[in-house]
Amino acid sequence: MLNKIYDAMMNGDIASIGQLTKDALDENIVPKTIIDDGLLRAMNEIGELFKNGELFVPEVLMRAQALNMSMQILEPLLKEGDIDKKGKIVMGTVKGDLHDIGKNLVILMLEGAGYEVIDLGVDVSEQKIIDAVKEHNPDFIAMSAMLTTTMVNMEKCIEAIKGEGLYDNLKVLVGGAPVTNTFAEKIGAYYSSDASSAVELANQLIAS
Amino acid sequence: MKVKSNFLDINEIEKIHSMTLKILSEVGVEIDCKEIVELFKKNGAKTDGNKVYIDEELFNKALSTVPKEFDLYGRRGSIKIGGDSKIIAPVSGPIMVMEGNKTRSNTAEDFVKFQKLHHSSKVMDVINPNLIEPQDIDRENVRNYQMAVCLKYSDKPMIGFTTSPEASIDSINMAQEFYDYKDNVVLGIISVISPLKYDDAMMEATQIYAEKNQPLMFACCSLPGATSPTTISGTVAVNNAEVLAGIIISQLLRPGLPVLYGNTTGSCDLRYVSPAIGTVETGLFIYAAAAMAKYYGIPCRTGGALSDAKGVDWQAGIESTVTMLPSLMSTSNFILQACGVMDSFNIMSYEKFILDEQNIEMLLRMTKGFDVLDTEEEFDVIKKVGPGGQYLQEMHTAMNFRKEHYTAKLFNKAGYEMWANSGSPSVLENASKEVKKRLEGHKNIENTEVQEKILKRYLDGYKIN
Repeated sequence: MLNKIYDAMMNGDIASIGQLTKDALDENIVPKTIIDDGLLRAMNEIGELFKNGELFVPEVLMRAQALNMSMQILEPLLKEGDIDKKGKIVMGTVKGDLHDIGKNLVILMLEGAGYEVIDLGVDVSEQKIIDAVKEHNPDFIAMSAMLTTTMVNMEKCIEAIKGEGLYDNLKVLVGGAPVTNTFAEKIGAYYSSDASSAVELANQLIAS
Repeated sequence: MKVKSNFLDINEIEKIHSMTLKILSEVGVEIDCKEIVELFKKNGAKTDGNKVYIDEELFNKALSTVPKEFDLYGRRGSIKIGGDSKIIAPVSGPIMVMEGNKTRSNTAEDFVKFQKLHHSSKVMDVINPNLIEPQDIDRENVRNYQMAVCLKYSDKPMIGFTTSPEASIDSINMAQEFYDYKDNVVLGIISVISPLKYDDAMMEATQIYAEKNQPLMFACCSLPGATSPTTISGTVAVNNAEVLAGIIISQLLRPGLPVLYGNTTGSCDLRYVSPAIGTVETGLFIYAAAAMAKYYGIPCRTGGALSDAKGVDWQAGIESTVTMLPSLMSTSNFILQACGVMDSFNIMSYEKFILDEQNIEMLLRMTKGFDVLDTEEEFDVIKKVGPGGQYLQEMHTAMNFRKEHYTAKLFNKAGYEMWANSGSPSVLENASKEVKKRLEGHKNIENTEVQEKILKRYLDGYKIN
């Protein structure tokens, strides 16, 4: 049964993933096992296929949709402590920038890899980020920018976080079309070039 | 929407046709073969020594028996040549190979590797023992070695040898014995000596292939300004006359013998008086050859990814494209020299082979065009996404993008930073990697006991893996 769920995930079979999840529960498989050995096992594989250029963005999104459909059934049944989140991430597209496709893809990948992500949406101000950090106490802040004119707001955000004395307790991740490694280093952040390397980067940083 | 056309209009075609009849009846064709000259005499043609003159009546009579299409047999069935078919076929003849940036004399090992690449190729429809000339195999046995290696490493239909009577007979016999099938098992290539001449060796091969009922391709490769008129239309007329003369011979020998109308004329660089095959005029000759062949109802061979470049570079890419695209646009039925050739037919490159495959896939996608679907499905998704939305997460996108859009995986499409992080690979390096992957993935074909015996007969004593 877990293999069937894994296969449905690998094929992006959104028509049958819901029923398969229910069937697994009927067979008394516990939600945590369904998630770990069915859904997340597939999601890791999918991330790898995406990284190697074998799966493209729309195909990953379809598989993520299948993941969400299954999770909607499983989440209410989870017990406290069933899922150990690897880490907590506050994420948003920076002020002045309304692009959310890349950010959403990164969120899907991070969630698939076991992170808890608080999505602040697009056009996110420095204050909104500071408020979210104070509220959620995350391991990471992740910022996205699509435009050369808005990527400078990443630096402003980092300065604001420093000003509040929050910078030393977390790590800042940045990404987006105009962003480069050099730019990231200059502003005191870590850079990843696509969604699957964002997961790798987060894993490395959380382990260190 | 389809990119498919006949690029000459009927008035242009008929003018070339009239000029062709005039050439054949007034200038004649020189044939260095007594038997064929006799054959023309027997059919009522005027002759003068080894020159034959073909009038309109004989022309029409002989061409009336040419099949509009035919099948070429291989181990796993046949392929149709003619009609709408676009058979992609290998290179013929280079004596050098290039691997990465290094050129060297080619070897038996190269020959085996290239046959493996042809076998695993998604675009390549046939294989060719004439592909390259392995320089380290003894001259006595090289033809049989080449045939046997082809049969060992691929099950695709084959081209045969026409280089000598022995090679012609041996290649036909080996294929017939290996397939246990007689007709249309190898395709022979007969070359014209432009202008308007056939030599004894080619005429012997023509007679052998006709007698054994094997298809033939008659092809010219003139050098405009040197071995044909410098004007495009003048060359088209002379080429048409000389190729049709060969086809007429085939039909007089064996009415109904399957044939291809071939043309691989390019330009001639008159600074060096050397062939310049990767030119835009080559494209014009392809349009003309395809149109004339269609006019006579004969399957047509043109093209190739032809290039004079000395490396896998900008020149190689552009030249290969401007010579491949016309063949695909004008639905040439058989496209020889399709993958890997450069330096005016002298060098065969591993990386160019792989990149030409991709180029063909790209151009096939382009010439295939698109269907105007007018489906509810399309309207539904447009409505669902609405103004200002995005289509990335839609099922419609996931289900259709691969069918509708070709991805050139050997080209560098990632953003600069991502590309730099992956080691800044050049396109040449991407192709080298793919060559390695493809060769490592080769799986040998299972043979019957009889087939194993045949291979052993010709390959015993040679290092083969």
